[in-house]
Amino acid sequence: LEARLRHDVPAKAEGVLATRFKVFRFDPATDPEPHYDAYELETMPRMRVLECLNRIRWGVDPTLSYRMSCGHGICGSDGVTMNGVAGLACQRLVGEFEGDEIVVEPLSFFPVVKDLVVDLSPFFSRMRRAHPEGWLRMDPAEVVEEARQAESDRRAIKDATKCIQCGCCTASCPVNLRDDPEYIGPSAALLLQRYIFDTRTRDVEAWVEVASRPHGSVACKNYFKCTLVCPKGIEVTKAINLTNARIKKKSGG
Amino acid sequence: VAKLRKELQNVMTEKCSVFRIENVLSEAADELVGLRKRFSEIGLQNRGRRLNYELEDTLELGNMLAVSEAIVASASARRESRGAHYRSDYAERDDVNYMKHTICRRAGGTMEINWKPVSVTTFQPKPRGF
Repeated sequence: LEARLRHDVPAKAEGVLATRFKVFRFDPATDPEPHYDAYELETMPRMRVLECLNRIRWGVDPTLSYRMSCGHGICGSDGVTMNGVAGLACQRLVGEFEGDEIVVEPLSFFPVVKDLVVDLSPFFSRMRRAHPEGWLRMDPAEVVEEARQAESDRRAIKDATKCIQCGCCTASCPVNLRDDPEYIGPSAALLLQRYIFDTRTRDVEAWVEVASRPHGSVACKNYFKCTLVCPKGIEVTKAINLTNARIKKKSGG
Repeated sequence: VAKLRKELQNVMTEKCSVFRIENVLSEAADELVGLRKRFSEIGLQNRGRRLNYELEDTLELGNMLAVSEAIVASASARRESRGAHYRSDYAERDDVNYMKHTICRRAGGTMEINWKPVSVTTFQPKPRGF
């Protein structure tokens, strides 16, 4: 994964390729059924999938809809499914895919708004659900001092703070997709770990309580899909297990 | 739309970037007039009312054109160098004539330049040497 993120090892060599993009198309307002459109593009192994989508929209088919913003893996807008695997279109290179066809579909789990654009509100409502009631409420009279943290303490939450909330993990998690659709999802469970293990958190138990609820972190079944797809390379499952181990230990299990 | 945007980006990068010269800026201004005319004749293929990114790109391009016109007009009017605005033909900073803000408005087909005095507060402005 590290190597993949460094763009070191495209599966294919240099040179010009002919790539076929099979893209999911659906406008729920007018289409009875989704369909796929195929676009043939001249590509290079190091071209990003997002660049190819841009070429399609800017030069071939202006009716194609997909989200993008920063275009380099910071904003998390362009989460899509590529050959069955969720990821950011701006991070995946054409050369990483086997064969000369790339199937681009919207993220699973979320309802499609149009083409590759999904409605992420089920994702963000889960992120909100992960926050205990009144977690930011503060007495205005209280003197707030700089909340310092030792480097060694920060290490416990460093990985979790890298999350950009793109939704790729939740869209790939078999618990969300099959076992328990109400599960808060890997990203929200990761957020819980971040607050539970942060030495500056005031009311750790409030966060632990959220994590212990039936659809909280404890619903994780260690499929490791989140860790595999995470565009930021976060060890999501490991973090969730830290929380769950803490809960188990406390309940004497 | 995509072609016009690329051309606009090229003009601004090549002719109105870090180093700016009078005659190059006026070339840029002429090219912007051409781009503005072509922009006014632009047509859309995507008639969709939801998530129509071609429309979004077009509105964005209109705003980019307006900002570019303001930048080029203001850069031509400021015959000095200051901060990130470097005029190869006027390399020195000129506090006598240009210690003021530029106000740029569209008036009919042209860009109208006005000036507003600077109110100096805590920090005394002075040339920076490196």
